[in-house]
Amino acid sequence: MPSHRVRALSLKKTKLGETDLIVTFLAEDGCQIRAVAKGARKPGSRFGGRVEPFTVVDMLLHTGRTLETISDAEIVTSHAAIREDYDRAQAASVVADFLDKVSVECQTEDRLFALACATLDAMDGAEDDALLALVVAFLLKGMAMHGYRPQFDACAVCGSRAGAGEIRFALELGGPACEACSGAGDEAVWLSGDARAACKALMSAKMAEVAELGVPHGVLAEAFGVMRAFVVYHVPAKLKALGMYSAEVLRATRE
Amino acid sequence: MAFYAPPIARLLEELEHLPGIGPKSAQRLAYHILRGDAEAADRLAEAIVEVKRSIRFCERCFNFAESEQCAICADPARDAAVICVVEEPRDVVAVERTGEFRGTYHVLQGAISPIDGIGPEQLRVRELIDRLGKESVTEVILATDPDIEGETTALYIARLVKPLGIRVTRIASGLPVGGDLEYADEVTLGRALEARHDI
Repeated sequence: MPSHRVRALSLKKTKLGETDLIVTFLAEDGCQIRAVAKGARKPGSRFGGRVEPFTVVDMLLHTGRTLETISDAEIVTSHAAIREDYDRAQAASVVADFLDKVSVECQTEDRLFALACATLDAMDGAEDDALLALVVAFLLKGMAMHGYRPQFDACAVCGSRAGAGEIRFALELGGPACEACSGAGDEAVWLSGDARAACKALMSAKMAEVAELGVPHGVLAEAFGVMRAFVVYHVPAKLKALGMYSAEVLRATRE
Repeated sequence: MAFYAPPIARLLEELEHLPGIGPKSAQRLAYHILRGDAEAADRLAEAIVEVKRSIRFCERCFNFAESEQCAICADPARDAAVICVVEEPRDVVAVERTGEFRGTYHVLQGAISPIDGIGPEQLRVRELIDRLGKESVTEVILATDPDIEGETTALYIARLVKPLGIRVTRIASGLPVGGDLEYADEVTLGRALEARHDI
């Protein structure tokens, strides 16, 4: 049976039998890998701590008949600070859940792994008030890599320049639609000029620079709401972590 | 299932619903029951029916109990001022086996897992906070699993309990007894070093 080395980010784990785990990874080339970590739930396991979600590992995988089996694993980045902070863990769960749902076995997308690592690296050292900006920036960039790059300046159908200020963001089209193109339609949400500018800035900023943009929480919450609706509209799977994080954002906004 | 007589097929179907039991294991168990005497089969059936009828959740700690309160909560020799918070009833058994703990428990019935859609509302967290308000508790020991779900749950509970002026502690994590240092991962070894103590 062939073995191969791979660098991957752990996204999710599922219990298998008494002591094993099936771990879902995002490989460096953007493909999803599901591998069995034998005995990972035993206290003395060599893998237990190495395949926890948000950990980047170098692994030796053994290809079996159905699933792959982890033969060896070394931590590259543990993102330990994410595990030790509730708010960071909530935000990072949105990243892991999104990647779990959009990545596919044997379908490469090199930029997705780099984006995931950059986002988790930024979250690992971020202050609490920067986490929402990182989540919004990740969703914007992640959707772009998934083939749904949102438009904020031009009509998403004909490309004509959209006016300044508030727009109707059509979820199906991923941007505003001019009147000549029949408008944004029913499934559209309002996006204020400030939130629109914030989305553009977050889209073009590097993940390490997102925290420095200093976007106010209210504007970020609005941008998050629009991006959440956009993700839910286009990703054909329920993103439970996104739903939970949304409730947290709503609670924080009310406070 | 067409190869089996209908009662055997029904038994196999029921056994296959049990965790970790596939078609082969179900067949082995079914044949074992069929080969055994009738009294043994009756005892097994009665035990299953009885456990479902008589066992409920303790109204105080949510461990399994035969009456309103479990044996631990009902024991006056237990120190009610210290509560050990665990994820599952089987974790109570694991802590009890150590013989090191004489306080009471609170079973959360799971752990926070955003990716699985399990939030604090699905757990017995509110009941824990209510309990802290009613009882004279001095320490809450967070003994959730040392994985991301367990850590997140512990952090969430600590955030709620600390403002109440109650001491919140987390069970230590580190190297397993009998394990080799060289095989320990960086996170585990780091925590073991962090929690080192004088000898």
